[in-house]
Amino acid sequence: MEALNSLLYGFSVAFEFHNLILVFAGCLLGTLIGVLPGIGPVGAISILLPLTFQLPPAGAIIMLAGIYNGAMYGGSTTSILINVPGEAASVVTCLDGYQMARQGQAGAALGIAVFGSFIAATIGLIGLQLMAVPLSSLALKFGPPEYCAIILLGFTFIVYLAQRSAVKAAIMTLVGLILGTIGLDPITSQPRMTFGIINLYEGLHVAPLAIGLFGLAEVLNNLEKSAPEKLLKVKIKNLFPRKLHWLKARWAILRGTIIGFFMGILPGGGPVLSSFISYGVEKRVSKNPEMFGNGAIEGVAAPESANNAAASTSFIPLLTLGIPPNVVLAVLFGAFLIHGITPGPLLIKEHPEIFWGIIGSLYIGNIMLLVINLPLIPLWVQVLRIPDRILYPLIILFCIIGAFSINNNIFDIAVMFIFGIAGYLLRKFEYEPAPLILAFVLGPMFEVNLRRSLLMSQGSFTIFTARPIALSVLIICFIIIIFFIYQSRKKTLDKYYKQL
Amino acid sequence: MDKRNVFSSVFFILIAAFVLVTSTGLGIGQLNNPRPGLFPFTASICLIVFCVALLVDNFRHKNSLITLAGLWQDSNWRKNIIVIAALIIYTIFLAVIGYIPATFALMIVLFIIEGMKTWLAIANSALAVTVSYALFQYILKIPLPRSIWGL
Repeated sequence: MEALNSLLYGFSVAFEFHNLILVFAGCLLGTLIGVLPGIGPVGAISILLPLTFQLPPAGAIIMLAGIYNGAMYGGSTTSILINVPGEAASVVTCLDGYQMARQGQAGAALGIAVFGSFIAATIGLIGLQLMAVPLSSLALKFGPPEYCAIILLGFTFIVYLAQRSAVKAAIMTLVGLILGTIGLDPITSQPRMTFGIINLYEGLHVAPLAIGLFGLAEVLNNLEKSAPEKLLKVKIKNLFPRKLHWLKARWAILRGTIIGFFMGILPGGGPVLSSFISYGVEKRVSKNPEMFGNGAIEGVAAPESANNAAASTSFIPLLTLGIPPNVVLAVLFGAFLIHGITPGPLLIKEHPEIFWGIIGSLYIGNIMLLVINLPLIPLWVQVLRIPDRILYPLIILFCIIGAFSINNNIFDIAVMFIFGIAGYLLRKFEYEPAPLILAFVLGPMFEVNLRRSLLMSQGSFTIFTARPIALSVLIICFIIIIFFIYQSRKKTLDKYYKQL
Repeated sequence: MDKRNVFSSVFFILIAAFVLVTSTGLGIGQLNNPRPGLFPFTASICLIVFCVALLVDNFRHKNSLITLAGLWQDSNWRKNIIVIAALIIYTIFLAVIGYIPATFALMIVLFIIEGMKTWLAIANSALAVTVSYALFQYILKIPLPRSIWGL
């Protein structure tokens, strides 16, 4: 009953006229960004952060959450129509979505992607609403050792779930941790790694880093490609999936939702990984796996459902524990701090209007996205026709303004450029920049809690084993590491025997 | 051998070594009294360990040779060099001449690099700078960089 009352309160906040406008603007901008290849939700939220500076905190976060969800919806359009994912979570949608479009079923593919996304995101939101209060209450009992153990679990997952090399993900995580130490020491206020540069005393801000690594770097990567992608000329009709489509896709949507639901909560998981896993699962359980890659509707429904469910549930660790589970939420975490709000277990008590307002607005945003996406698909197709020669310079312009406006400081533009070039090179060398940003955000939290734990225990690590929650989390970390080593060894041995 | 891994490992080892030395100077302290250098010190040691692991793994596996030059094969890398140079010059001049002239010049370069005709690039740059300045400076009240003469 209390959950229902709280949700009604959330709706009362979300239904305020200015918040409705902000949800709509966020969803619209998010879909636009999701549609446009070359810039994903991380870069977009960072770049568009200045737009929210004049807004009240609740409105600002509501709008940014709308951008995130909108990008998840919009990403499938480019995947299906031009075989280029608008953002990383829609990469796998290309495989079958584009094939469906080539076979004249673009409407069905787009329709099932949108409806699947809606169903999954709504189920994810119900989970968020039900889990948020008990988790927040539990988190209030957490001390530094528990937080330290949970963040360590986050780092373990980031490395374990890396899409490419785990060693490279670990390297990126450690680079992020080191970058997070720049600035004044959180306990003694002694300058660290500042080299006398006054601008570094407050440390680096997550927004210029994210804009550089995900916005500018993406543009630089696209600039050097010689031939632009060609838009498939298809007639988009029958956006409402027919009974046959529903029958084929219903279990895929359900399985995608369940996978996305849990992957969204896991640190290092999130929409991107959940879409890949759900596609793999779908192919494995299918009676016709050979259809995958040739236009199977399940290959569109499952990943799109998974990434939207994950987008909803990824708010759970951020809002209840104050721990961002993925890179987009890490940037959103930075946005919370800019607006003077600290996400975590006290958020629900201190700022119920923000907490429940976000949940209410996510529900409304979901319905808006369904309405925006289906009838406006022809418009999004036109957006795809914006030539690169106009698009990329404008993205760079927004990157500049986005970086500058965080502190009104040209130094942040320089930081953004440096990390833009670094991000471009990292991609060339096959390093993922996401673990870097996550570690950069989680690093200072981890350090403070680790040092406090050590101070509490007079330098003894037994504090982590004496407390049941911390111990349980550390055991999970240990199991993951052992499992990972076992898997790697098995893979190496299999390879060796094959060569023999 | 993948030269990308060799080059990047060595680069990160150098960074880690630098952090290691700097953090030692900050004071590492003891476990019961950790000093500001302890965390970067530990992180840099871990970084060196993982980089060495990547290097060793790279030398152990006899895969096909991937050279650094190969990364930029078949790509329009000259475009990126010009963009990066333009961005560096832009950052230097932004503080001196202010947002409007510096961004106008940058946008012209970016549009021309992308293959736009000069007159169209000038017109589009003027439009982009005017709209962005009006939007951020007046509507969103976000001050944009001014020149040293206050303009």
